[in-house]
Amino acid sequence: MNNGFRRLTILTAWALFAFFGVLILSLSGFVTPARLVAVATSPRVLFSMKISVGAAMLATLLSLAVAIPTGYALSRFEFFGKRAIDLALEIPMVVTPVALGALLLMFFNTRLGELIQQSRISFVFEFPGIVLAQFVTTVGIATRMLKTTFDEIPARYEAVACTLGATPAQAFRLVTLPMAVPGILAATVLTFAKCIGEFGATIMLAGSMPMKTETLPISIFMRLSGADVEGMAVLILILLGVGLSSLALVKSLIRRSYD
Amino acid sequence: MIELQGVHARVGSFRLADIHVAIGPGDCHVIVGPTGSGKTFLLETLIGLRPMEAGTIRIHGQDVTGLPPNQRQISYVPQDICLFPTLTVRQNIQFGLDLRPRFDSQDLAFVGRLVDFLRLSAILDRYPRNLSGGERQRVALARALATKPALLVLDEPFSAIDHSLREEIRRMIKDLLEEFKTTTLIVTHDLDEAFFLGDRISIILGGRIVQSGPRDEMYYHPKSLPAAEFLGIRNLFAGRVEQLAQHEITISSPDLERTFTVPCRCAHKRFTAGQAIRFGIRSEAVHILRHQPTPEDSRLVFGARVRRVFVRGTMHTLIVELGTPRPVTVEIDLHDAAMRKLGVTLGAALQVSLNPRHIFLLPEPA
Repeated sequence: MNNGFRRLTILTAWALFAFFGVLILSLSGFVTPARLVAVATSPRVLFSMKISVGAAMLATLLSLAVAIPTGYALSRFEFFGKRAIDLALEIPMVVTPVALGALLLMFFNTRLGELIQQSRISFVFEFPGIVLAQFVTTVGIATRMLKTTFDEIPARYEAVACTLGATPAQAFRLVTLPMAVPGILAATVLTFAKCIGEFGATIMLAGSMPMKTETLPISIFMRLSGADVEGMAVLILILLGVGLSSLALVKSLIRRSYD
Repeated sequence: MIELQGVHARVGSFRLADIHVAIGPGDCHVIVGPTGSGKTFLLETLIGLRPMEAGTIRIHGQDVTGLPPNQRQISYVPQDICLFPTLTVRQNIQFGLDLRPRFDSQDLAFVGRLVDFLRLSAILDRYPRNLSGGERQRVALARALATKPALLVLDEPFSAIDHSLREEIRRMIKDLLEEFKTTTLIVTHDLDEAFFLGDRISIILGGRIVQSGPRDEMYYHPKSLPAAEFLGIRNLFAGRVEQLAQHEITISSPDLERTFTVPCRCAHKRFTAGQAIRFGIRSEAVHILRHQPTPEDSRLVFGARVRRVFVRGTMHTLIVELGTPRPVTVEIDLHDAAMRKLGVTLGAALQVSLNPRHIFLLPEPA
């Protein structure tokens, strides 16, 4: 390969890394170790971390629970409304999270929404609202990724399993699902990362109540609103730490599943 | 007995039309056809992966047409083998048995026999990604046979295997099918494979079976021009039926400028006097004479000259021009040793003979 071209592409990659490095390093001017410890161990921040991780995990599980069968159906079968469903998956990508959150809020003001609110689980300004907002913004991407994963696994594997006596459900569970594990883990990483950083839809539906619905991204916004730049910088570092370590964990799981 | 009767199926604009195949117990039936002729589609229809428009599939007399693939007792080894990559070789082989509520020691003993026969005992704990092409094929065969299916179906069984391993795997499959007396249907585009493995052969062209029959009959006596052309027979000539007897037929050929008699079973059922036909002969059935023929010799003998020689390993294909008033070329396949013995070289003058017993007759296509 042309040496100049090779250098140019590698330089671009390093420039991108340097750009993010400079952004993160710029935090150092605002964070002192003492301040980091103080903010990170404050009950309000610990609560934010807890509900951020908890809600992201629940929303990720929910997204996958819907995305795996939906992705499989879109990949394998021809059925009425397939194109419309495929198009609907794009909604979270073309509509901003704030608009999605507003849509959810408006839905809960309809008769059906109010009926749901009055049942056991209440969503507006509550923890389930955070989970729902994160679910709505991520389920489309998770489904799209899993559809691609199933597309890459030839249906012939299932056909072979069926000729050996497996029902279609057994063929899926015993053959296709294990083969899809790397793709499922990759979808998990992306969904979780997107959930933990979700802001727009969450603040619209669940609000920003300290010690109740204040996730880490909302907490960052609240600190900025209160002109607490140092506190905000610490929270950004915490969010980065939580997000990147979760990603690293899942990526190592993916690598192990490939080995 | 496995029977496909009047099977019709369609995918997009492609149709399988009026497929009839009957496979006797323990027989190996090969369906051979070019790419895009509907071989894999036919297999998928037989297995139950594609819906049929009409027809019946019977296995040992039981109509399985409406049954799903997991209830048909047909094991399938696809072109790309499809070993389950997350399972070990042992788990792959036992996949079908593990799905059953229970299996007994006889089933396990049968699997053990398969494993020994296919020389798989050393690789049972390996994953498919660590296997060679030949090993993968052997594991796929063991997996397919472990459930003792009524029919084993192999789709292009050698396409994923290196050329150097093909002969070994071919022999292994032949031995395996003989040892376990498995009723088998193979589809392939490769004529060598078809004639090596098949007890009976069907030719499929454009979604239709154009001819079925025992191996030797198929090899020497194609019954239609498309079948003859697919079988790679290039010595085809125009002719006309002059006279019909019960078991022979007299042909005149404007190409060869001869009139001759060819043995033909049920000639009067297939042809009529005055009918335009084609006739042909395989290139290995055209002989070079070392001596002048005697007057009693019933063969068709022509003076000829070698115009081209193609070398394929130890085999040579000669293109010779017959000494007929109108130039006609004939292909002859000859072994290297025979070439040397007969002293055949480019441009050499020869005497070639066409034995009427090896001539087959085809109706002129409409």
